[in-house]
Amino acid sequence: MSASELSEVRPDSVDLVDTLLRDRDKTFEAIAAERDLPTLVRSLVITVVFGSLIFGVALGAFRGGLQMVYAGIKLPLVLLLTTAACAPALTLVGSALGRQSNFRRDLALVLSALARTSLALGALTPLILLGVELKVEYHRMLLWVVAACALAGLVGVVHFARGLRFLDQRAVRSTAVILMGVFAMVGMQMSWTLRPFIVRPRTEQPPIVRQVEGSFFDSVARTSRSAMGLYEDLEHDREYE
Amino acid sequence: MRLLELAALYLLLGLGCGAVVLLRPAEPAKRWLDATLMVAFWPLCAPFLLSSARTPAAGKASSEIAFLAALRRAAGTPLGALLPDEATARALGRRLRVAAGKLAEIEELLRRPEFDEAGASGIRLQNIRRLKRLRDRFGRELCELEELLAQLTTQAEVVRLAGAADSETRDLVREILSRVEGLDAVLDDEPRRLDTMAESR
Repeated sequence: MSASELSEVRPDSVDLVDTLLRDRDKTFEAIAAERDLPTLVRSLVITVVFGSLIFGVALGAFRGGLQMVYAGIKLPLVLLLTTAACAPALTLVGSALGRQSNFRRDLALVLSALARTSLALGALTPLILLGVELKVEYHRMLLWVVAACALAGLVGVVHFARGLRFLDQRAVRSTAVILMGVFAMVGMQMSWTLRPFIVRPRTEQPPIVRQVEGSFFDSVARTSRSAMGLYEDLEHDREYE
Repeated sequence: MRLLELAALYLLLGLGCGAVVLLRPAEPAKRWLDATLMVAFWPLCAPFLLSSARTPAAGKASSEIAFLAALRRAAGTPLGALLPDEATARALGRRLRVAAGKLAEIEELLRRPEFDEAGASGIRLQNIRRLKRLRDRFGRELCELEELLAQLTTQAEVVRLAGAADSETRDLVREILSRVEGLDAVLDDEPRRLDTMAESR
């Protein structure tokens, strides 16, 4: 694709980012009326890819080199593949709870929430780069990343809940809670499958993906203990040191 | 199925979807962008990029959405006190959707060959003309209502920035609500009016 061709499609995305940040209701209106959804979804997916790619590259910068490429590719994949797996659940849960469900509208709403999350992730990237520059200790860095992701996730959840309310006022809370649960579980497993995103700087050969072992919750508990100085002598810890 | 096999299957389906998009007539830049997005994220993009841009149901729902959106925008302003509660607004919104649906239905009927005025006579011709009058009147009502909703949206912004709602704004809100409530009457009145006209002849 030539540069002139790229510039032809760019304004859609730029306008959408602007609308997404300034006037949330306008995005909801477009989704509710199914107004030019292909253009909207195209722009939303591009926004998700770029926002999370920037954050992923920053995560990879902790080790540098090839890991920046790996993390930059994997993070958008985690977000979008999780959405692909979970969005039909929203329509099904909505229908079961008596909401006016429509697959295209629901998918567009989830994507808009994800795009906002990705924009928040992109905005928090300097914080991660600061950690890289200050050479923050590995486990502390992981906690910084979890905090940044939690904050960006919160932005997305608020957007999603407001969007649900905008589309239909019935059963908003229960639908949001159930879908967040599904999304969290699938997202955790997806990110667990595609890990690592951050590896120690001294790792000689960063892996594209690791062997699936243990669970996400085991890892959070272990990382918290390690951040407090209580290290465990686990085989996989040694693997990347 | 292993991860690698699953990924290969995913990619294969993505390539298929991408090829379909590439073969469609569209601007080259958008076509290539869509094909790339399809290959990578076909479960997300296919429902939008492989189907028509706008469904008839979407058209029917848009008036209702515009109405509810205008009320929501106005709710946070001093205009809020003049607006109907959420349940009433929803009921009025539904009425608007039904009205837009009826209009679309009439238009669809009039596109049929048996509703063509050319060659029609007697009662058939009368019915066709009656339907056309109904469509024109109903369409005009909906157009005027859309204009009033646009006015309400701008008025809500003015009130939000400039202060309390004036009498002009109150009148506008009242007119919109009465127009929406009166939409059914347009359809009900028309046959009665036509019957009266026929009787007086």
